[in-house]
Amino acid sequence: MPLRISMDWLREYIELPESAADLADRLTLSGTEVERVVTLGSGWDGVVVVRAIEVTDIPGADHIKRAVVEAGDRRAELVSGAPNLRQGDLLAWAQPGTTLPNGMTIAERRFKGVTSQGVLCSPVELGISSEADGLLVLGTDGPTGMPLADLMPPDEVMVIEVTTNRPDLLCHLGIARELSALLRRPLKAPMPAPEESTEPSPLTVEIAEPELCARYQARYLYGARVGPSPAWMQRRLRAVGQKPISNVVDAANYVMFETGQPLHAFDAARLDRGIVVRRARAGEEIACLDGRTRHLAEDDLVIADRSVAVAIAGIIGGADSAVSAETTRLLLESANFNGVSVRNSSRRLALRTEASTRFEKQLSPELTAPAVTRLAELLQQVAGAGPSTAALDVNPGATDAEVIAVAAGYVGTLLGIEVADSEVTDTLEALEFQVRSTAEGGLEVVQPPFRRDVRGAVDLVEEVGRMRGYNTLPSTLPGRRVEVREILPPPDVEWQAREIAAGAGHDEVINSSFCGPADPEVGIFPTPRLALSNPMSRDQAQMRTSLLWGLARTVSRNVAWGNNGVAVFELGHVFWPREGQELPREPRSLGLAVHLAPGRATSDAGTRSALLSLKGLIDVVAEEVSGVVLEHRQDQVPGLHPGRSARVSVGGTEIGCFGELHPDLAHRLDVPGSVVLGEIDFEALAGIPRQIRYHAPSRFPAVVRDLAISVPDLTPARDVVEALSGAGEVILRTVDLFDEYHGTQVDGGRKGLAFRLVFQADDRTLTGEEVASAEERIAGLLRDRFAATMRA
Amino acid sequence: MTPGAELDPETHRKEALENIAAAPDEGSLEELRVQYLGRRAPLTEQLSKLGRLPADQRREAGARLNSVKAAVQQALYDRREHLRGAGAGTLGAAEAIDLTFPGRRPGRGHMHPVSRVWRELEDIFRGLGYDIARGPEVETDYYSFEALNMPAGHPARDGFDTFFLDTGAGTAPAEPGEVVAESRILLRPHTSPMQIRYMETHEAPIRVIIPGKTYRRDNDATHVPMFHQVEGLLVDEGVTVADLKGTLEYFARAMFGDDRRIRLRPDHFPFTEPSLEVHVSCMQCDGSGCSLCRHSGWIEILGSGMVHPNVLRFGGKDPERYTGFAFGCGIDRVAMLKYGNDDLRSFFENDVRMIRQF
Repeated sequence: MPLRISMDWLREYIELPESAADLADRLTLSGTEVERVVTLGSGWDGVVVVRAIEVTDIPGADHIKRAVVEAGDRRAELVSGAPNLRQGDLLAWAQPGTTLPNGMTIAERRFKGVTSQGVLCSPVELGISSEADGLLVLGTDGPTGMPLADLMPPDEVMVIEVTTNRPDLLCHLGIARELSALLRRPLKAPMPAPEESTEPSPLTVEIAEPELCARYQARYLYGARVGPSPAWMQRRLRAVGQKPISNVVDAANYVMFETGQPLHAFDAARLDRGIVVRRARAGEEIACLDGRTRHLAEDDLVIADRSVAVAIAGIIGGADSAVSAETTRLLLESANFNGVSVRNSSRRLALRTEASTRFEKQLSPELTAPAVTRLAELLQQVAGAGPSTAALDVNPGATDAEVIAVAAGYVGTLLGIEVADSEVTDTLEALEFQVRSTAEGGLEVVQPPFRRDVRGAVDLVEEVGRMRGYNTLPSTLPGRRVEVREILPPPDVEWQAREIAAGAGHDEVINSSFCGPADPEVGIFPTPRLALSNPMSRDQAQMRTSLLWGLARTVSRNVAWGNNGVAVFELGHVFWPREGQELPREPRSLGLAVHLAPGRATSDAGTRSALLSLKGLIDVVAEEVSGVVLEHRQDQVPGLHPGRSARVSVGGTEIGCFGELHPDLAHRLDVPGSVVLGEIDFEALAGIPRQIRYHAPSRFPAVVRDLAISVPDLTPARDVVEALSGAGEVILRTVDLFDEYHGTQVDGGRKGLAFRLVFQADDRTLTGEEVASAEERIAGLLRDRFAATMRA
Repeated sequence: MTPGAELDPETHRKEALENIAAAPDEGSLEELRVQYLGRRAPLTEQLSKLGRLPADQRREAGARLNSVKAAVQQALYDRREHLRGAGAGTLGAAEAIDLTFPGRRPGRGHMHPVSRVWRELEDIFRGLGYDIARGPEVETDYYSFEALNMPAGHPARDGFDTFFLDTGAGTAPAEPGEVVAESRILLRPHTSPMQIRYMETHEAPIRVIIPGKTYRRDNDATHVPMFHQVEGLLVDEGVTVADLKGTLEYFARAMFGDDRRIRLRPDHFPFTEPSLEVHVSCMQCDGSGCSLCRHSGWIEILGSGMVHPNVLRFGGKDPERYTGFAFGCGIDRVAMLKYGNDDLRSFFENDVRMIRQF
């Protein structure tokens, strides 16, 4: 969640005559991204502080109420649907004619017979907060009738995205410290000095899980009086998006937004003897501050007293030990928890809080002491608390600061420019690192406790780079003289395949890699599908094993959009699990699909023509990419028309299929007409590089002869072509089957086939006798093998 | 005119031009050409006799005769063109084809816009000497996170919204509290795992880009669960941040136009240090501020940084000897910016009316 930083609050720690907008770019270009600046108090003209003096139901209305408000000596009647509308509260009233920060102009409106003279505002409407949370409540005590801006002076809020490695920036002091280094201006950090008693704490602290809790500090205070916090504190908390609750809770929140250390205040009277930091017990439950009861797992770290859990460590406090109006004795907790543990519990419980988002980024145990001291001081100021005991400090995780060695010239070498040693030292010191020069001309750098993210010399390069500004670097291209090694391969053949498919009129689509259990198996790759354990929906719960069903669906959607007759292709990965292997095989697959609109295209002849065109296109891709001639076998394929499907192989290995989509599936997709489609394992083709060898064309004339035969109907055309090509006639150069026909010219149960035969020799002009005898032998072979009859 | 008589050039020219203008067809025009310019024509004869004239008259007479010859040649040419034009008039009417009719276009398909940009990226980096590699979309936790300096429990893992595979044995969706085992299988949420795989199998110096599909649990106008990234990796001796800046500036200008500028903003990625977000000056308003760049003048196009020493070690490269940079860029995002599409999802609806625009 983005961090909100109030300029008014920030100026407590550093002198900043600049506006937030002026600082935003400096911060952003040094790594602290200011997403936007919100001006509080603009659009508040006409918004007045009022008190609700009477709240009544409206007859016949369930969700809205009528309120009479007092604004100085004026009265107004208003209608509101907010659940937190309460008699006696101070509220913000936008009078008719006011234009609020969200652009809404207020007018009088009637609801169920009651006239609302304007609106009672929520923090969202006033631009204070982005989370809807009822009406803005300004406490109960105080005068009414003055402009809201008098109670809440204008402020600017920077909305900042802090990277996960910089939890130290999740507070006003952190941002002030960063600005102090950037602008080289002094930082005015608070030096808390609470009144302390010499009495020992009546409660004890014990850490049972030192791995998960590196430090636990506690202070005990008597005599607090719980009530509303002062206006300045409420104003600042509201500016950062927090709802004021009570002086004790607000002070703890205030210190968190000041120092970055989350704190918690327990009602000490409701704790049994002392604090134990332990893992939750099996079946343990806790009623939380947000009103919900949570079941704990044994991995969850809890804060317990001597009998029950009183808080989920680093995430949320318990309701039973919470500060209430009767509370007078406080136990203040300032602790350091293991980030991974807090993150895991927070995720399991689906509960993210301001505290958990800080702890999970692993805070420094050094932060706890100044924060709890500051909180004790504030409680003495705003809650009338008495002296604090000295802090109980259980500190099992104390570690020494790391010393980072930086070789001479290292920073400049990595940045690619000259950087003076003095610049490195000055920059790091401004960021509160300790820097010592070594005898070898290098540096030894000690991180400040709040910068645990800085671990190595390369991190220090970043500190110098971001403070100086990366945009001051020159732009160079890398390169040095190296020996020749492997040469780079040529562009991948998949681009060639795309060119061919697009050149043939197919548009390229990119379908989802996901599919669902309801999607049918289409194609020759019916391996079980991989399944996701956290899919976004049931129909995206598996990984596709074939492109065909996705293509059919894309065709159907396009037809629904009016794109009749579309031709598409896709070249993408499919996923085939492998037995005994951790990762699946992920071949690239090439799929093609064409829509045949009802009419001539879906006649038998039209479908035949479309299927043969698709087959020819697949053949061309294979020949161009790999120089291979594909083999085709008429056979049934899952999801395809049983009489109109074929399997494709190369060198005896099946690599694909094509055919017409099964009519049942076309019907299921509600696609008018039909779809022809095909797919090949492109990885198989890409693995066969095309070898080109030149053959000189013959310079002697070719003899062209047409051959018409009739054969029994069920004879596959391919068998006849192969018999001709394989007849051993060296002068027969090409065999082109150009027609197939039925009907009156051939007998029943037979079909006609028409071939064009080209005869040619490389070394001579063929004689008529040579050709005639070859033709005779061919005719004999066809008669013997296929019971063919020759036709004139 | 009798042979030998003195030719008056002016009269001769007038007569010739009148006759030529009156010629009815190309045949009579040819007769006139022979009559006025042929070997035996008076003008030709006069010209051949110029040499006999005294030197002081030769130049003036020659110029006069040659100007007549030029005028006759021009008139013959003009009349011939005129006669031919008139003939074309008849043929034109008889065999006219209306060529203002729309051209018949070959049935050409179109590559997907993401493929176009993908190919352009490959071309740009191939030109800079980079290899092009591909890697698995189904990946291990080790390559996706662990070896990229994000051990189990690292807070930066949350930002990846990773899809996990059901690895059988009836494993239910992972409990968030569960310690994630190294062998967990997932859909890669970025192309960065290939940094490690490529380093494992290649010696330095390394220059490679790895384009491919990536997956995250995300779905809105600028995020889809399946998208495309390109990873870049360069590892060598003496590689600097300035080299990273130069390389990415070259890329941005090659992809978006020579007049683009880039800006670097420090960011944080666990696998690079320093880490830098790269912004390009807005291609719509050229930096003056518009809705595309949200009035900042700059548009974020990629994340990058110097390869973290731990990542070099995971890839088997000695960080004392080698440095390098890496970057990851959304191919779909580049396509959106380049072609002015503000709804990423429309790229993957695959309406051919979208695809045919590319």
